Amino acid sequence: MDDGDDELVGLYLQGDIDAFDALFDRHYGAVYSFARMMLGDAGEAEDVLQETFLAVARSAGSYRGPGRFRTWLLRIVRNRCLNRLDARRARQVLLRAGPLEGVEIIAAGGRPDQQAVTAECQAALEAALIQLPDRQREALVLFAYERLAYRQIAEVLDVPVNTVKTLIHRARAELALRLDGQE
Amino acid sequence: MDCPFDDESLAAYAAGELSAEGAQPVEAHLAECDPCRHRVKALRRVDAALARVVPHRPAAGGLLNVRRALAGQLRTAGPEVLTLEEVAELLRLGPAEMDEVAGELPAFELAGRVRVRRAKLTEWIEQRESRFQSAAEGHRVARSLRLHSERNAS
Repeated sequence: MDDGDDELVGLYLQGDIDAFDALFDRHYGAVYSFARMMLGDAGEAEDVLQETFLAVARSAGSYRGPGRFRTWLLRIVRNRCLNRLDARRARQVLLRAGPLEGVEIIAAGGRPDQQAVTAECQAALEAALIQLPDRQREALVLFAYERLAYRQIAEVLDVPVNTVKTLIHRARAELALRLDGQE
Repeated sequence: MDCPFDDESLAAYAAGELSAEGAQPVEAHLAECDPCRHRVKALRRVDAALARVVPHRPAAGGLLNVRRALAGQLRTAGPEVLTLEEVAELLRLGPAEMDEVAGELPAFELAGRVRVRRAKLTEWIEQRESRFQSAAEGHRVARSLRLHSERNAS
């Protein structure tokens, strides 16, 4: 997953802007999708995408590899999202909007009717997922959407691997409970 | 029934993360507990749905906006710490001209290399700007005084 990232960071630090563009192309999807599921809002996820890569541009020198760029990047995203969630709670503005509002879902192949079923199923899943406690949600999103291994999730969240497992098991159990009546 | 397994254990079981020894008592319990069997089924449905999720991607327009904004910010931002080559490029100075100002730059040494913080460089440029402006102002005053005295003399 991190193949070549370290080299691109090195090139960027030597002033190669194309290397920065390449890092953006490789990782913007992961950054956006994580922020999108943490915040439940497409516009805010775009803001976080921009802020995150600006932070990368400014602090690429503090990245310590090897092979950890993706997790380093997702840590930045996570901190930005948690700050936003804190601010949102401080304003007492709880977002109740459905997670799929105004967002394009790019279905991976399949027939159109099958895609529609998948999108509908995903919408129901996400409506429940977005209501999980932050810690469970971030762990599960990193697992299911970013396809990170437990070890990598532990790195992003800065907790022991066993804590990650517990968070994910609890999140799945909670989702099973919430979605059970809807089937 | 008083179940010996909590949600977390059932979730670990459903994900296939228990060892054979760990899974065996769970299986024995499931054989005789309808509610737990139902919970494991629900967990597996969730896992199947999670395995099929399609990550969200930004809409094309939004992505373009982010790219543009970043390109604009990068032109002015870039890394916080600059090399002398980057400073020369920013100041649009050649090597000989850089040598002239090198001693005045707000630089520091790190592992045998000379580096300049972008913020300090900006401050340094601003100081020179105000020096230049006051020098230009002084020059203008001097010039007008000189004109004045020349006129008086004539």
